[in-house]
Formats: sequence, structure tokens, C-alpha cells
Amino acid sequence: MREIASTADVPLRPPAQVMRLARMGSMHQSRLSFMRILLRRMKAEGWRIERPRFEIDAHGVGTALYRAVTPTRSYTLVAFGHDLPDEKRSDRVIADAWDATFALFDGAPTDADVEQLRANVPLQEAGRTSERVLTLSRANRSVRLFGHVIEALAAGHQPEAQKVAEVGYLMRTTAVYGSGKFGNADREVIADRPEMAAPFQAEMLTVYLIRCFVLDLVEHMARARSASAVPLEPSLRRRFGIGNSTGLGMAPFLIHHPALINNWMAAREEALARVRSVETASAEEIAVYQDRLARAIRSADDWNSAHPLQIEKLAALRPDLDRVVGRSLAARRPWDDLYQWAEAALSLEGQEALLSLMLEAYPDLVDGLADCMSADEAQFRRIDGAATCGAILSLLGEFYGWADGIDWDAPQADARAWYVSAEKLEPRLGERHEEPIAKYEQPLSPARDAALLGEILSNFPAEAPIAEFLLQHPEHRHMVRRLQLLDRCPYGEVRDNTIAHDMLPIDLLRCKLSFFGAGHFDPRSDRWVRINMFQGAPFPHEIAETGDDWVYPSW
Amino acid sequence: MVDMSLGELQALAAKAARGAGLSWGLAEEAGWAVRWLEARGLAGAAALAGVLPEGAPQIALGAALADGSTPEPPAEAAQHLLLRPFLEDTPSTQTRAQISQDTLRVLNRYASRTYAPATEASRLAGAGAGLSDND
Repeated sequence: MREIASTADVPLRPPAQVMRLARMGSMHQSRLSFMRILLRRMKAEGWRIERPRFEIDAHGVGTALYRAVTPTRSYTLVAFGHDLPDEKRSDRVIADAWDATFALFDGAPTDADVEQLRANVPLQEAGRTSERVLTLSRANRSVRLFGHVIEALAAGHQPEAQKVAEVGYLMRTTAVYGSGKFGNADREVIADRPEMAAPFQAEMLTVYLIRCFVLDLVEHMARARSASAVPLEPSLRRRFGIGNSTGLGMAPFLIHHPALINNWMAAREEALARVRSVETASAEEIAVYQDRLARAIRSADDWNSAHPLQIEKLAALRPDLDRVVGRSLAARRPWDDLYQWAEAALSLEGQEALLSLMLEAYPDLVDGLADCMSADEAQFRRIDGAATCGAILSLLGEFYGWADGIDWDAPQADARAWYVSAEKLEPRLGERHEEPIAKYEQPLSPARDAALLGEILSNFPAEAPIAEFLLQHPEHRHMVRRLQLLDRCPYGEVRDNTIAHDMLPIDLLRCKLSFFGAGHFDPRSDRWVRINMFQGAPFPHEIAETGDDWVYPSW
Repeated sequence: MVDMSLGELQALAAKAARGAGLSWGLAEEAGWAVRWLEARGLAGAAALAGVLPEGAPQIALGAALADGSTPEPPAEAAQHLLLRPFLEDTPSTQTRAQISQDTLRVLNRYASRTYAPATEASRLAGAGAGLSDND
């Protein structure tokens, strides 16, 4: 990972503005999204995608291998298709069977490797993988679209474009487990490889290859049904992404990995500041921006959600984008001018959408920041015990001063507690004052823990080393470590109460998923969201001719 | 023996330490200590499992040594394997750990103390589902 040295004249937006849940829950994909980073590299390095094995029957049952060949290595998606009865199909993490299960294998698996995987991968969490496995994942068919597409193709015609637009994918992944999980290789094993250095590249490659498999699968199943079946028309085919259904399990990640989140956020803020610092926009740059804006408007029209919160946000986003269209870019520092106008005039959803659009015309200013987005978290392990209690108190003020006004005795303030269920070992969120969960609470409420630390620490001699305090108060050790980390990672902390009665976990989910590059966020509740990934992305034979604008609809 | 990634072992060791009563911050240290040892071919997981019943006091001692609040370990404790991660700086040699079923059983038993028993209410409300997802 490289450190960011700011080259912008305009200052970065401060953490106090950026790290609020309402804004984080309004973020959009951008040039720095992990899917786009992956596809840019695939194109620049001319990766080949091969399909060495496709033994799938008429019902979608069997084995397929998809191999991504880089200039120096290969990675193979091992796909198992299953015959899942309808009643077993669930997106919940408590499911125990899926329509398809997958592993991303490091290199080319032998037949024996594939059989080893077949004994474990279909079991998902209940199986074991090895260091050759980089990710473990599974997907379910979209009942609304999967059968319709096969029937249409088998009957010799294309599926209804309207139906394709409404759903947007044929299968939804319900988990993609990476680093170290269930025996997978740790991230450290691959982190030094250039193609895996940016965050979540193995996971993104997995999903990209799953999409290749799923589109091949429906065409194959249509052919198995009828000799006169037709393949999907190429431009319609591009409109299928891979769905994903994400629950609470992902939410604590942002709180558990402050150094990593800092680097994601800092890269994005630096990108914005660099573009805002551009003195004048060329006609060519303005043309790129206007093209992406027009296409973003079409994408917003296709963005469906039945959730009241998202309906409200979309109702603001659409007129926001229309208002952006007419804005002049003739001023000195036109993007700064535009951004400042947006901050006063647009909803958070509109501001964050515009931010992403403003970066589009500046690959030279933005794309290199992708190298600054991973994190060596181990470097923050040691506590500087010589730091004084007074210094730690002043860090408390700097990073948690915003929470001073919270009355922690009010039941709304600590209404929730994060805990892990014995059943699936997955994070859940409960009502502290109504369920017997407080004694199982996870350390996912830094603002409350900061307040507890401050209360005691302020009575300790300011000049005493913090090591002495920790000897007497080991229960505050995790917060002292966090404060010393935040001193070097100012965008590392969410500046909202993560156990408040009205906290929305979907805001945390959306922030992370937007960095993945997901679109069309569709909350199913306050703690559960569906998304679409790689919609519009080129298939392997199209990568060489496709620009980095595939995320914006060309239809 | 179970072939484990160091990451999953670290997470399990930290949970087990928490289950044995260590603070969150010290439980993190326990996870790192086990990972540090196993990455050097040393039996850190078994060492932690062996001292969990007595609350793994070596972890608090190691942390105090690393913090600088305790200048030297008492002689009777100085040789304990679990102190080495806090005192040494040697390069790692392994990326995996081979852990015995006995050690795993102990770690899992302590880790399970951190899990809330599931109820039907938590299953639905806590995870936030409830809408049809078979569409």
C-alpha cells in the first residue's frame, strides 16, 4: 500500500462531514470501486478467460470451470450446479442448500482437487477449504427471471426487456467468503500480488466469473430444452448482472477495520479534492462528464425499490440529477464551483452521485489512488504505552467530541446491542432493553465505549503514561488502541451512534457495497439490502473493446 | 489435525479468550499472540487452550510488558511460550496452522460462551429478514 500525499489545492472534506451514516448510506460506485479496478487491470494486462470444463445437465446440475489467465498466474472458478427444491431456496445465512456453489481456486485445479472441493464447497460454512481456495460462495436463482429467460430462449425469442430491467440478474449470491474463512487462504498469502493488491479483488473476480457461468448456464439449459433455442442477444446479455443479498453480517466490518475504511475513504476524498482543484475543464472532459451524467439519469430511472426510505431517496435523486444538467462549467475551478453549489442545493444522495460523476473525466488524477486503498492493519497492533493519559483524552475529544451531547442514560441512546448468535455465528442486532443479550454484546459501539473511557480517564493524572491506566483498566484497552489508530487514520471512524434506536444498518452496508461497485441498492428492511453487481460489464470477449464506462447504461 | 488459516485461528483464539473472561482489548492480544506463535511453527493455540481455565494471565502480563508498564516478567512466568509474541521480533515462517481436535474443542467451548442463544424472535428480527426472499 502507498501512502497518499495530497496533490490537491482544495482541502479534503473533513471526516466530520464524510463519516456520517446518512452520507455513507448515500454513496455510489466510482472509478475507485473494486469491480472497476479489476476490469481495468483485466483489460490493461489482456487477461484471457477460458472455460476448460462445462459438464452441466439440462437441469443445471453438474460442474464447470472458468479460468482467468493473467500474464503471470491463473485463477479458476470451480462451479457446482445443484438441483434445489423451491422450498429450500433462501437468501438467509441460515440456509443450508443453494442452486449453485463456488470456489475460486488459486491456479489450475487437478481432477482430484475438484473432487476434494466437491466434497466441501456445496456444504459452504459446514465444509473445509484449503490454502489453494481464495473465496467460497453460493448463489440462488431469481425465481422471477431465471425460468422466464430459459423459456423464452428455448422458444426461439428474447426475454422481455422490461422483465430483465425490473430484476436485472439471473442469480443472487448470498455470501462471498474470502480471507481465511473456513480454511481459505489468508489475504496475506495473496496481498503482494499486483492483481490482488487492491481490496477484494479475489471476491470481485469470483463474482465476475460467476456472472459468466450463469449466462452460459441459461443458454445451455435453453438449448437442452429445444434444438431451436437462441442465445441471448449480446446487448441484452450485458444487462444481466449478478444480484447479491446482504444482511447484517457485513455491517460490523466497517467498525472492525478502521484502518482499511480510512484508506478507502481517504482515497475517494483525495480524488474529489484533486478534481475540485482542476483550474479549467477541457471540452473533452466536459463531454465525458455530460455523457456519464446523461447515462446516470437513465440508470436512476431503472433503479427500483419498494422500501420507503429508498423510494424517498430516489425521489430526491432524480430531480437532483436533472438540476445538475444545466449547471455551467465555465467558472475557474469549475468542479469546485459545481460541488459547492451541490452541497447547498442537493440531497445527500444527489451530492454523492455527483461526486462519482465528477471523477469520471479524470482517470489520470483518480485511478492511481487505487494503489492506496489496502491496509497493513498489523502495524496498529501495538499500543504506545508511553503516551500520556492527557494525550489520550485529547484524542477522545478530537475523534468523539461529536458524541458529547449523547445522554447515554436515555434508553434510545443504547437501545440496540450487536451480538453473535449461537445458531449461525453471525452478527445480529437486538433490543438491549427487551432481550437478554447485553452480556453477549460485541464491541461495536465505539462512541459509547469512548464515553465510558472518558469518564474514568479524566480522573487519572494527565501526565501518567496510558500503560499505567491500562494496568488498572484492561476493559478500556480496545478503545485506547482505537484512538491511537485513529490519530493516523482520521477517516477510520463512523461519527454516529451505532447502537441508537434509529440507527440504520443498511447505511453501513451501502457504504461498503458502493466501494465494491454495486448499484441499484434495494433495501428489504433496515438491515438487509439487495444489489446488482457487474451489470453492463463486458463479457470476456468484449473486454478489450470496452471502456471503463460500462457501469453507466449504454442502452 | 485440522489445517487452518492463521486468520480464522486468530479470530477463534480471540473469541475464546473473551469467553474466558478477558477484556476485548486483551482478547485481541490473545488472538494476535496465537497467530504470531503459529506463524513461527510454535504451538500457540495449544498453549492458550491450556491456560484459558485460569484466565490466561500470561496475556495481560505480555500486554503490560509490551506497553512498558511492567519492566520485566516475574521469573516464574518468564519462560511461558505466550510471552514470546510480546517480547520478540522474529520473521514468520508459516502461513497455516495444524491444530489438534482437542485444542479446537477447548477453544470452541470457550468461544461459544460469547454467543447468544438463538430464539425465533432473534432469528427473524435480529437478522432483519422476514420478507420473501424466494423470488
